[in-house]
Amino acid sequence: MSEAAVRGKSQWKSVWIRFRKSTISLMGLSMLAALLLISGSAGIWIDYESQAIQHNMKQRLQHPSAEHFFGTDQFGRDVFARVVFGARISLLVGILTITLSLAIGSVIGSIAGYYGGRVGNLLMRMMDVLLSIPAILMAISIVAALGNGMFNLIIALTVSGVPRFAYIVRSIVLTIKNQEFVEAAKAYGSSNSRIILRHVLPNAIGPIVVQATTNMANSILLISSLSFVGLGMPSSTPEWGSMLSDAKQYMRHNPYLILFPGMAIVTAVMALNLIGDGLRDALDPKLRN
Amino acid sequence: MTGELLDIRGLHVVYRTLESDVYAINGLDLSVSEGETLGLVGETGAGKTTTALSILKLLPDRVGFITKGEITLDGVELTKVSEADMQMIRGNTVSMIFQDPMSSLNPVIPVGKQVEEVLTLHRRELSKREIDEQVDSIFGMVGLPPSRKHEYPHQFSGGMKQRIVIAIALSCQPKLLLADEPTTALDVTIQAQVLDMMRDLKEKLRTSMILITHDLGVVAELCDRVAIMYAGEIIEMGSIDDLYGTGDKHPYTEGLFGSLPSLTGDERRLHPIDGLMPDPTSLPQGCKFYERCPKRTGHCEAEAPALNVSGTHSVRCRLFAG
Amino acid sequence: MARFVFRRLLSMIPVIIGISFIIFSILALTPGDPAQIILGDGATPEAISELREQMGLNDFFIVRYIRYIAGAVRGDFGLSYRTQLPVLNELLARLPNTLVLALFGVGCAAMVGVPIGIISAVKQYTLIDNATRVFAMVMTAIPAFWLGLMLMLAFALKLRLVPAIGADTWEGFILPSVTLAIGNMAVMIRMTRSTMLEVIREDYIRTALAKGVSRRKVILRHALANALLPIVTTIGINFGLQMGGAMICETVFSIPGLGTLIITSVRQKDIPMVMASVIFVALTISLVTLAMDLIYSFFDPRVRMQNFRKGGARA
Repeated sequence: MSEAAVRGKSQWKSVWIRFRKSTISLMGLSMLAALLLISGSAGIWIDYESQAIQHNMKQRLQHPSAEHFFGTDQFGRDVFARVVFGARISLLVGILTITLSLAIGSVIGSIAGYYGGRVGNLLMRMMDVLLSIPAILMAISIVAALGNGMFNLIIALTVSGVPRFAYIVRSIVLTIKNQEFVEAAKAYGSSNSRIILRHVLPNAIGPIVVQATTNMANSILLISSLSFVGLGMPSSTPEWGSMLSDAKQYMRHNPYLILFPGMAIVTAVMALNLIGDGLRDALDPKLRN
Repeated sequence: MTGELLDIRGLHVVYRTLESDVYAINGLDLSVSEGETLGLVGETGAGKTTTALSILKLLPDRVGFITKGEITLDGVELTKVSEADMQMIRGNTVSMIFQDPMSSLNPVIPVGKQVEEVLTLHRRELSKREIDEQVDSIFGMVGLPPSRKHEYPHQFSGGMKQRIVIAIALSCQPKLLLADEPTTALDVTIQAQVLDMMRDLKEKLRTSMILITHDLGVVAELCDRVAIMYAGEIIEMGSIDDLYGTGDKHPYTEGLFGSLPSLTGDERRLHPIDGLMPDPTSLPQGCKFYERCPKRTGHCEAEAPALNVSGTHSVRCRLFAG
Repeated sequence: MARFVFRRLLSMIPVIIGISFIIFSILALTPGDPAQIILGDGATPEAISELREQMGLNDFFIVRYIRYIAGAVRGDFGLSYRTQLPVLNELLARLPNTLVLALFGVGCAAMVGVPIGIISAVKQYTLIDNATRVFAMVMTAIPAFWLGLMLMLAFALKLRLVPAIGADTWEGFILPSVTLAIGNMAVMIRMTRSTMLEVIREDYIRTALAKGVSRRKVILRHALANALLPIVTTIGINFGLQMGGAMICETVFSIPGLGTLIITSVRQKDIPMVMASVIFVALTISLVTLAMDLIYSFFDPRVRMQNFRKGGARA
């Protein structure tokens, strides 16, 4: 086992020990676990078509009851079912966005950090420019060009997510590049890409995970914001933002219509923020405040 | 009154962190008489800085606690003094020079103002003009042109910054000066200058001093007595002659001084000794140096040694018992 | 001083070119023929190709970009596909509303959030601190538009204290501004608190305490001066986020600002309008960031010395 891997293992153990000590971080973790569990198993106990999609005008705008926990919307769809399936969409888009941003960002950051020079400089200048465009403007422009829908939304969010990951990976590559164990690996004749994969990336995981949680929280906020203004998911989709957009005109007499989807957003975003904060503190105890 | 300016008895300090309790000081006895300079020597983590911060009662908020013991300074029992009264003592009766002059000065306040602040706090009777004159004379005293008092810390070199820090510490002519490795962060040539200046000022102002250092050469040059700290205890204390002479010493001190305990020799730095200090979160029951001691016996592990005093020299080791 | 500001303005140019190039490239991907969109479905192929020629749509992409920038520098951002009127007029008409919202949001948030953050840091781990942290944590997780809806429901629809929508009277701005301010306040509190905590741990704070300065004075005289600089920078960065938030908020409260303009233009495929608005907003953000940067360098003696020779050390 390489030194980096050994270090990594014991480091993660102590990170977990510190993370576990914080009630608030554990709360975030259990909130996220609950969201994943409920939305993951939703297909088993809720029928997507009949409860979340099909109109049922006989049952429209019913207040919360034992039958419909969160009431029904203007088309008689079950709000609880839609909120649960909304979690699926938000989490799915969030995870896909992060995976893509991380993959692309890591490649760019690694190249820029490891090889440096003119190419690295040019790449980072591009990242600078991307970073200076607020994510929402970037997303709106992309949706304007490509049209709305889940796929384009993922592209839009990925483009604004890439630079931050590129920055993190690059700075980590730069600090680790000259450390002894990498020099040693070089001396043993390991190839560059092998060094990046085996030595550099394992050390980068901590800050990356922290960034990933923040990024996912922001993605969820952004997806719902865009859907709310009609530039995200089509309005028939059970997405939290589009649900709120639909609910706006009924909210005076049916306030539960805006209450539950909104609380779902807050729960998801808060869970991720709590995990991110807890992890950051656990990774670097000196920073704890 | 015993004639001692500072008298510490049975001091215990604990740092309570989220993970564990760190036992930083474990029953420390220490005294400094008027005009005397005591060298406090030990490895990093031995508790030297903690000792100084305890005297100032500036242990980290909500983390560092004095759990037991007394600290008497100039007849006042500091552990019982209120925070408001402590503010009158800090900078006035006792002041401290910190290790790193680079970060010890506030970057956004002109250095003259930072010296002036101590005077306005503790010399209320002085008028604005008198304070101004004082600041100028203090600048002259530490060898800096008073005309530069309007400049900011970043405009000075490391050695000059340390002179400013010393100026702040001495401006109210404190009875006790705590100097925490005042020259470690400086260039070797500057070190000598700053030390010479400190010695002159100390004599001129008749200030007592606790000099915390790694540098045995500096101790020999500046100090009247030496105390060796290990794992939050004083394990040996004596006059310069006691420790730098050829007499028997604590095995740890022997290790520190290496094979050439000479006042003039090249061995100025601490000698590395194999092994590490015991984990301060769970200290051993017996002698704290047991693990690393070349002269250990079975007894040492089970029972903590008492301090054996003979004249000016005291040693915490069984070898010196009886 | 003037030279320094000028130099900083110059250094913005590459960033602005970069931003506009990226936005231009993205929007150039839009499917559909602009000539077709302008002329409508009934247009003859000849008319369309004539208009295409006239609009320069057959030129290379890079030529079109340079032409666009050349126009933009002279204040010509093209004509709206929808109204055939200059884009700039509409933009300038809408800009004040968005600026008012964003400025009010940032201003209120800073005025309330910074002091709360300081108190929270000074009283770390006390009840006040914990309550503040929970508040900030919950508030950062709440999307601005949802908070807006809730406030509208409570204060406009139920209590009828303020109008729910519109920008006809100043009262219409109350709810959207408050919405933005609350969200931003949470960010301010968190950031001020962590900056303050960092500063409190600095060596020079310990030096000040060792001088006998009271804890209260140490905070006010020594810590605050050092913490304010990073805080000012964050206020600048926040302004950018705030513009985004303001745009969404406008939709909730139907305020005719840049946000609603961009969103309706996207829906109507009015590309010149979208392009100009996005570049405009990005530009505003860069300018504000620059302004904050200047304030920062003016107040930090370390940076000031290098940049403002006149006056210099003995000012």
